[in-house]
Amino acid sequence: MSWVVALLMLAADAEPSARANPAAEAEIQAIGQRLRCPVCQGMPISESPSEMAQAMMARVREMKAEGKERDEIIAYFTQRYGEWVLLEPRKDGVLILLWTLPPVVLLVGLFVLRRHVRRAKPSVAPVSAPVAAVAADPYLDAVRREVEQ
Amino acid sequence: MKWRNVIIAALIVLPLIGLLAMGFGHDPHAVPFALRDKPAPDFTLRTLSGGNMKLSELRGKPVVLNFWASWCEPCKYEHDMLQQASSYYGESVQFVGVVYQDSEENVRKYLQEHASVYPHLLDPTTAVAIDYGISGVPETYLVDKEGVVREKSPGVISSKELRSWLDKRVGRGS
Repeated sequence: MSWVVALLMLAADAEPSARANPAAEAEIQAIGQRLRCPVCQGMPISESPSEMAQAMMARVREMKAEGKERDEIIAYFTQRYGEWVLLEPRKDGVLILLWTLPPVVLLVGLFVLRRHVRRAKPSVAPVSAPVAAVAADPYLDAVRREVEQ
Repeated sequence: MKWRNVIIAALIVLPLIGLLAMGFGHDPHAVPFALRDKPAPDFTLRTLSGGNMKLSELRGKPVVLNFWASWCEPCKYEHDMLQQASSYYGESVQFVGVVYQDSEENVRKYLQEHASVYPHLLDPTTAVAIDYGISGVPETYLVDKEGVVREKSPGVISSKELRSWLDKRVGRGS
C-alpha cells in the first residue's frame, strides 16, 4: 500500500496550495477535463476514479506547482500518450479538418438537395399541359360530337 | 447525366468507405505508441534489494522494461517466460521489472513464491509509468543500447515477440 500512501501524500502536498488559490485549482481541473483517462477511456482524468487518473492529476498538480503552463502540461501528456489522450482534438494543423469538414459537408449536401428539388419541380407542369392541350384538340372535339349524336 | 450522378455519388461514398475502413482497421481503445524512436524517459528508482537504479546508467545494452503488478493475473502468465528469456540472453540484455501500483509487501511476497533473476524497481507515485504512457499492466518496452525506445508490447508479451525484438540486436537467432 506504499504507493497509495505516496499518492495521498502527493495529493496532500498539493492540496493546501490549491485550496489557497482557487484560480490555480480551477486551472488544474480545466487541464484534467481535457485529458482522457487511459483506464476509463471515455472519462477525463479529473472525473475518473481510477488510480491511474488520480496519479495523472497528481502529475498535473506537480507540474503546475513547478510553474508549467497549460500548453506545456498538455504537451507532456501528448508526448507520452499521443493525441489520443486529448478528449477534444486540437484545432490546428490537419486536425482542423475534423472541425471544419462536417459543417462543410452538411452545407454542400443541403445545396445539392435544394438544387435537386428545384430541378424536380418543373417536371410537374408538363404533366398538366398535355391535359389542357388534349382538352383543346379539335379532332377530339369532333369525335366527341359524333359520339354524342 | 446518369454517369455524372454515379461519379458524384462515388466521390461522396468512396472517401466515407475509406474513412470507415481506417476506423475499423485499428482498436480505438488502444493507446498509441507515442514514444517510438524517442529517447527513453530517464528515471532513478529504488530496487527491492535496497539500492537505486538509474536507467541511463544501463546504456550500452538493450533494456527490457516490464511494467507489472502482483495483483495482475496476466502478468503471471509472462513472468516465467521473462525469467527464462533473461537467463537465455544473459549479460547481453538487461531485464528490469517496474512495479506498477502495488505495495512493496505484496511484491516481495510474490517474488518469494516466484523466483526472479532480474531486478525489480518500485514506482510508488506511478510517475515513471506515466512517463512511459502506460495504460495498464502488463506492458513491456524495449530501450536500445543508445537509450532510445524501440518497441512496446501492451498486454502479455509472447516469447516470439520478445525474440523478434532482441535476437537481431544481440546477434542471436536462426
